Amino acid sequence: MPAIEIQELKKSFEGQAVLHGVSLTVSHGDIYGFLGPNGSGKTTTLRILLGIISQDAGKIAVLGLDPTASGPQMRRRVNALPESHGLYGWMSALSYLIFFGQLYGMEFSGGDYRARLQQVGLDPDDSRPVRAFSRGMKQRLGIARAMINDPEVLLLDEPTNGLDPRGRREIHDLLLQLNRERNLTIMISTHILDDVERLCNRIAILDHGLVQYEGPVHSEAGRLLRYRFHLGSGGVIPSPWNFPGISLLDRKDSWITCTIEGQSPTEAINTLITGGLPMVEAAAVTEGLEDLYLDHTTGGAS
Amino acid sequence: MNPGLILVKREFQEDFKASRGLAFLVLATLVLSAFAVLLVSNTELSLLDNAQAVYMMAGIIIALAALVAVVRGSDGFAGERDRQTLEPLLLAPINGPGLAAAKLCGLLFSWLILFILAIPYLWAVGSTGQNLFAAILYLFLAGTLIVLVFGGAALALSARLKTCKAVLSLGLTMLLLSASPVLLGPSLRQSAVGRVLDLANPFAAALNILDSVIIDSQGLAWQLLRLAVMVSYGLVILWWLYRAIRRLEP
Repeated sequence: MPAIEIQELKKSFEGQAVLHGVSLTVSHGDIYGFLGPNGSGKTTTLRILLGIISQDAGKIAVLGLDPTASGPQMRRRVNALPESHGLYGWMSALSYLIFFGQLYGMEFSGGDYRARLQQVGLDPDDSRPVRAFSRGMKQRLGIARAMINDPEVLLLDEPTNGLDPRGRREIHDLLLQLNRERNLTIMISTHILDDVERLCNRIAILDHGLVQYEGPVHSEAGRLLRYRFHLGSGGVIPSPWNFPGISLLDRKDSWITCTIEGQSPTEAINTLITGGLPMVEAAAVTEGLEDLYLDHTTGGAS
Repeated sequence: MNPGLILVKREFQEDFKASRGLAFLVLATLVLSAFAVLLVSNTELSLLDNAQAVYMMAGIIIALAALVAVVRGSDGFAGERDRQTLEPLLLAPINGPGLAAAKLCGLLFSWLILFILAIPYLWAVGSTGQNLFAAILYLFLAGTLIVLVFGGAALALSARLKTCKAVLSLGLTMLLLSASPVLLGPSLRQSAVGRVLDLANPFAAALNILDSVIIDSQGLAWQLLRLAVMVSYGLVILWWLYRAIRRLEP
């Protein structure tokens, strides 16, 4: 049984279709990236998964439970970090965590709550109200809240939005640690590709309310885009470039990047060597995540 | 502890720890002090008899309770939505009716604080007069029902409308419309239309109960119809709230 299974999910708001039939599957222990431009339906999908809004059509199972029919029961085993922190500015971090711990019926001691704050890098003795916290600290507290019920599935909506590179890296490390230590299934909705490349093993790209791509982040069978050749220290590029079927795209230091048409890579290498280019190394450049994302999105809201 | 009780506890804490709660306490004290000084001055100058001063003070407390219920009720869900704190609450394993019940208890706690705050003022304006104990008792009863009716209605609106401003505008309009028959002159209030407006209006019912108990020294039997009107409103509002909360969205 997968951790999350969505089949033909549809949702409209005031007659405007947001999700046109989203289908995807997330396995246990996955860190699953849910990518897409703003307005593509990511947050709506997450909210439906959490049972806080209902779908118009389609089937959903989170840990085998239907979020609409078994919302409170499911939410004991699942938690989420919404895009907004949702913190009470007048509470301290510790009292905020205790409030949610009690709300979930967790029987923790004071020391347990303190340990959980320490785990996300917050000082449990910090008695300042949460409104005085930096964005990064608020995000950490949000994650501590989302982990308060020791969920089996964690849904994160833009978890690193607005964080500086160091803060982002720290959140990455924390999520990887949680995934590794607890086999936590994590689904991350984001359009920050660095998050996905660092964290995720599988992704879905959503655009205009439909999943345009679902698969691994680093596809072994990634589409071949271009070749890079290392010319060594003595390489001099002829000008004008006169190698039919081989187009020069870029040159940096002693590397050149080319596309090849109408011939095999071996033939192209032979042509270049014969033409006076001392070839040291050749590498195929396959499609990266950014190419994958750009190929499958058009950038507009549905 | 039950999740609903945890939420009630937080609502209660918010009255004392959050800046909004503290502002409410200070404002309520200022309003009550100002009116108490005015009423005591009038009594000293023999412009009002003691029972009338108590009745007016009780009326002011009822009006303040209704106002606080509408303001806090409007904030109940729409305010949380505005501050983006609603979604984490909806993620918690608590169902909609439990959430609404907790919010309603929070409103009643606010009323309880206002009531406790008001007792010394009532005593100050009416310590030498008649029916002070009955005034306090019926003030508590009528005030609780008023908070349930107006606070519950504001909460229901708050669950359905997206912004706190929209709920507040609608809630205050509802309160003003409800209070407007009270402003009718004595002769118009005695007419058939005036009597119907007086009877079918929870706000007027609350004031009429206080008038009847404090000024006319009438007992419970005289209040049953008015109480029944208020309870009926309360039940309808609770049903409306139950319906509204089932479609609560972040």
